Amino acid sequence: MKRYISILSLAAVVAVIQLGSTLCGREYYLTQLTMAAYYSLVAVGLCMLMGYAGQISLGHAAFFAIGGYTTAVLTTMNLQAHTSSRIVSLLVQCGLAKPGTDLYGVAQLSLSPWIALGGAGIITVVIAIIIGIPVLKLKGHYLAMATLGFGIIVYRITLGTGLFGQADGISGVPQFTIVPGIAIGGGFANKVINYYIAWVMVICGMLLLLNLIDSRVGRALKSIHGSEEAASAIGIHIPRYKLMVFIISALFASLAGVCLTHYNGGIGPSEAGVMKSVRYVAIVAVGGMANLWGTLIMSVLLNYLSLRGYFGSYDDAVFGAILIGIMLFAPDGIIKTIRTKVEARVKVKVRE
Amino acid sequence: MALLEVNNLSKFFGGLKAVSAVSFDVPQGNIKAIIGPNGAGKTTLFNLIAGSIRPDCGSVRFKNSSIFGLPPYRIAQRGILRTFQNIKLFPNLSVLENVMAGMHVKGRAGLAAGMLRLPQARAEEAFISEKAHEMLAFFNIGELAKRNAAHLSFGQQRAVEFARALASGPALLLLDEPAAGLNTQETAQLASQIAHIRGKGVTILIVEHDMSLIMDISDEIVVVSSGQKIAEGKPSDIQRNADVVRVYLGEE
Repeated sequence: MKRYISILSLAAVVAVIQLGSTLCGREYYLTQLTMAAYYSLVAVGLCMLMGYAGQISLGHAAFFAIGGYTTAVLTTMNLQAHTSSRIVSLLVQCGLAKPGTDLYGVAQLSLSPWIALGGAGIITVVIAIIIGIPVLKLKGHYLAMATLGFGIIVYRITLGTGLFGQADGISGVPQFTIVPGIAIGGGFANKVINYYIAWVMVICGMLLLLNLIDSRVGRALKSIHGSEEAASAIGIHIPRYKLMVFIISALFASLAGVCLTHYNGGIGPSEAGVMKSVRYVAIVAVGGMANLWGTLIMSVLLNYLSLRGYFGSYDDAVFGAILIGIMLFAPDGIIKTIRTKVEARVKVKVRE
Repeated sequence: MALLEVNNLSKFFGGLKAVSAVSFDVPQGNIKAIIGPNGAGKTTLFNLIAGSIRPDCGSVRFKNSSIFGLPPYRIAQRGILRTFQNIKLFPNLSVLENVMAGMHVKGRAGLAAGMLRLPQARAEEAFISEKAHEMLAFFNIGELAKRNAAHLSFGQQRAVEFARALASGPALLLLDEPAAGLNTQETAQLASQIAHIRGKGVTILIVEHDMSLIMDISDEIVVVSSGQKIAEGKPSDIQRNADVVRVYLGEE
């Protein structure tokens, strides 16, 4: 029951912020809050992997990029030249490829974002399995280094491959129409709808993860974090569960990548960058590691401030500094540390 | 037929024979002990049975099917649970969750069922939680259920570890030097706990250093020295065995 109260409160806060910003005529704030919501989807997925299952990933931006680039490539690909092909005509018949025109009025036949979403999901799972099976045998620093290596490879691929637009990235990604009238993207006019789409996804994601934590599988993951030796001694097949949580968190990142790419109308290589991965790790750490709510709150706050440009050109430096500060002064995360301090104060007062 | 049959089990580390052709049986319902001086290979023997070290040759049969070379999680799934010499609880979980985790092999709920809280997953959780509470009550630590497992006394931690190991209803319980680091009073308490567990019909194989505990509780004793079995029998026979007295008891 408690979990539903928290989720409902989150939904209420989301609605209040939208109403408030509309009433005050400041709807432009919603743009950054929408983007922050998608980045938070990555963060809470990583929180599950790091905080609960105890496996670090310094390459999570790669999964975001895999989702984003997959959908960008598939939905901007022009199938006009292949209309005679059976597969393409079948796709058109099923409504999974739609004719249109690009910016210059050239006829365009592009794949439906639904196909791209499915494709992104499959590619993400396949890559997560290929990377996860060998890499998750490693522990601690070694796992961190291996995932970092994976992140760097994906970053350099996006930067160096023509298909991915090299340093320019891919632009002109169409909006993602979920049902007629509700679409991810579509510019400033659509911002309220986009804000709600993003937050509904975050709320659903949180609900799924909160449920997971209290389930049999979640307990197995937390046991692995607690003691691998004891976990296998009670019959838990560790590699299987590690891979499972790795895939789940990769899918969260990939889904966020797909959505944000449609929202922004494009994606660039910086989304795959190592600094992005470090940023996600910093957010989970500052949120308190095994703390989904802490991670969500800190993620929205920090991403929002960063996207509004409060950190200026020191953006990445701020996240680096946060990481150092947290490790030194508040390894349990900022929220828990403050709460413990306040509780200690209150106790002293009560005694007096 | 015995519950556990160990035949000619051997393990070499390089040229060193850590365990050399050891054979013994653990009959259903018994408490069997493995003793030996430091470095005799009894911990290695224990780990060979628990699966944390892979044996080189010989055979290990449990309920008349081979468990030779299986990894620890498969051995646990067969119904052999173990405890650790330096108690290994999950410090990030509550006492209740530790015991619920111990019932992992009894559950079926998968990832999707858990994330969506499907009815069968919820029913299973309710069942597991109830059983875990029963297990805590069995060890008289019901009031600790919500406490964090990291913040318990040594005796409480051991009770939680017992509860976790027994939660899934194993046929065989392996105890790795449970009396290590205990004083006389705590050892007496441990002995009564072990008797309590045996009362549930669980067969126990115990590796131990503490002679008084072993002589007190075990039905049969296997003595190992330099990786080989040098004697096997009832506690009274072992106490009188000249070889045993020479390599082990004589030292005390």
